[in-house]
Amino acid sequence: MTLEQFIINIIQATPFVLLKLFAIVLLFFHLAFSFVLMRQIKIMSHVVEAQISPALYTISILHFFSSLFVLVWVIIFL
Amino acid sequence: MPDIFISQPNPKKKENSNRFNLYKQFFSAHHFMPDGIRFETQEVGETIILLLRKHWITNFIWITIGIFLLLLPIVILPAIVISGIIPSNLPGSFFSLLILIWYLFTFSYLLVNFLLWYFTVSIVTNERIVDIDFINILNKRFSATRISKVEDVTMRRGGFIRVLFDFGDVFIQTAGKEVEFEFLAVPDPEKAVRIINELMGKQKEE
Repeated sequence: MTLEQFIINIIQATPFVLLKLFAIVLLFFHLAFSFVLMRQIKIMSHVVEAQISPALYTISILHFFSSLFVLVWVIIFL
Repeated sequence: MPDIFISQPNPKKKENSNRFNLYKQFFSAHHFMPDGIRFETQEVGETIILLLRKHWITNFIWITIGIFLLLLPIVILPAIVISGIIPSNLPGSFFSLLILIWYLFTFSYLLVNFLLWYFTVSIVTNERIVDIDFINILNKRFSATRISKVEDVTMRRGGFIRVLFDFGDVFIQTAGKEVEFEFLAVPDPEKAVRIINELMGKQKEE
């Protein structure tokens, strides 16, 4: 069996597994991005300190946990 | 003549007004003598006189795209299901996944654009001119110069939208080989130029 045939067999047999794998990789990158964003907001808040900065940091934490939630949801339910 | 009726200030109305002023202050693109705002490297005795961001209308494109992205699944998904393009044996969780990922990425898009607007500021203090540019979420450029080193301040405003919403660019030329400072698309650029000129005059007097 050639590699090409092997890939075709997998796609035919389990198309949703590939979809799930793709979604997990995508969401893993998004999780890393949201973590960087959370750190960056903390740094930005030191550059320009305003009373609204804690609220922005809270939003970034919510964003990170939303990303984590979707990743876990895909792993468990898809 | 004695007052028959003296209206008592409504504390709830006052509280709402304060809250509105607070939001207005934090989301405004033009702060004169702002309260509760500090910046990195602010020196002792240094007071922020003017804090500028890009005019809110410059956010119009990303806000419109954001609204479009938020509304798209509501219109597109039922159309796709009705048209039968997607095979019927697809599990229901697939659509839930699609919607979740879509809104997650839309939220990220809106958040990043807001942060880039909010934290890209131009500051005029009683001693310095500071320009903080967030080129993207990972790259920051911080430039500052003393008011005494400023040689020339120019303003440029052209185009229908800029005249309509009263915003433009302010260019600050400093002495020697130092870079020119650019306050791009800031509201009320004449006022910014006037304030910098007044500060330059005061510095020369001292």
